[in-house]
Amino acid sequence: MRRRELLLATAATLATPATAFGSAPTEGDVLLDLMRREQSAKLAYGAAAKTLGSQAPLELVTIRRHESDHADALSTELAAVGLGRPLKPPLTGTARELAEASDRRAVLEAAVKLEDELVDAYRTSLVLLPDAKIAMTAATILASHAQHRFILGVAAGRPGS
Amino acid sequence: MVTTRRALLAAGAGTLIAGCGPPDEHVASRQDVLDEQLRVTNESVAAGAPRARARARKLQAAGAKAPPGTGPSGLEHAYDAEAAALASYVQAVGASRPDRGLLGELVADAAASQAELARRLELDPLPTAFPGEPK
Repeated sequence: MRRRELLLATAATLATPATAFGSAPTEGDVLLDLMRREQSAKLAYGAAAKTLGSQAPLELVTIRRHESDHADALSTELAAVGLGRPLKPPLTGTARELAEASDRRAVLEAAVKLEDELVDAYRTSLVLLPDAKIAMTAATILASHAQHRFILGVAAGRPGS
Repeated sequence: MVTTRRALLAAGAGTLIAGCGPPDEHVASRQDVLDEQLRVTNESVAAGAPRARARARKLQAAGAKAPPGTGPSGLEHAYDAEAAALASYVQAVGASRPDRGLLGELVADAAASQAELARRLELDPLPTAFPGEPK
């Protein structure tokens, strides 16, 4: 289990999230991967909002709160399959890019990319999660990230995202 | 939201355990679930939601069948129809595992559509962390 968790944490940083799972993962593996993504996103949005200060788009605050709500929901689902909430992961990949972005444009570019990855991860998870209710929860979080991606895309000057 | 008998059956199908219901109880088939998703999507098309037509085509390509939508059109109606469609797709994720790949695409697109329409209506485009959550 420990080795698989480490592999999944590494997989989360891959450029092609849809292929993050090499072999059939367990329900707990999938939920842990999603949880780490949410935890990383929350940290990254927090860092970006702090960097931009009063220049930060209001959406960043809302989206950070949503990521926190998603993590809480996933924590409930993890408990349902007998797992606890993992420790906050180190920031890697796009989450790190977002956390280290130094201006509004770079923040929005990284945020759109991060939400793109989250949409892909949740779409993949729907196929992998056997429990109907857990899959429905994942579907609502997928919807949330699709909305984040759209709104951030508009803020980044990409209408029709 | 989801108001037809078929929709309610489809929504509940995911929680049913085969063989546990009364002998004549209807369990929504995969086809029923897809047909219901096309029905609600066609309502979005009729209401004028710009993205809905492409979703309807995807559902038809997957074998779904439903009559054209008959509801009123306009921005507010489109917003409401997309909200209903999104809620229906989320329910369908619970009802039909084989179609979750397609349903995931529909969920993501309807959610973005809802946010887009909310902006045009000057409503909050991100009102909840769980869009489409069953009420």
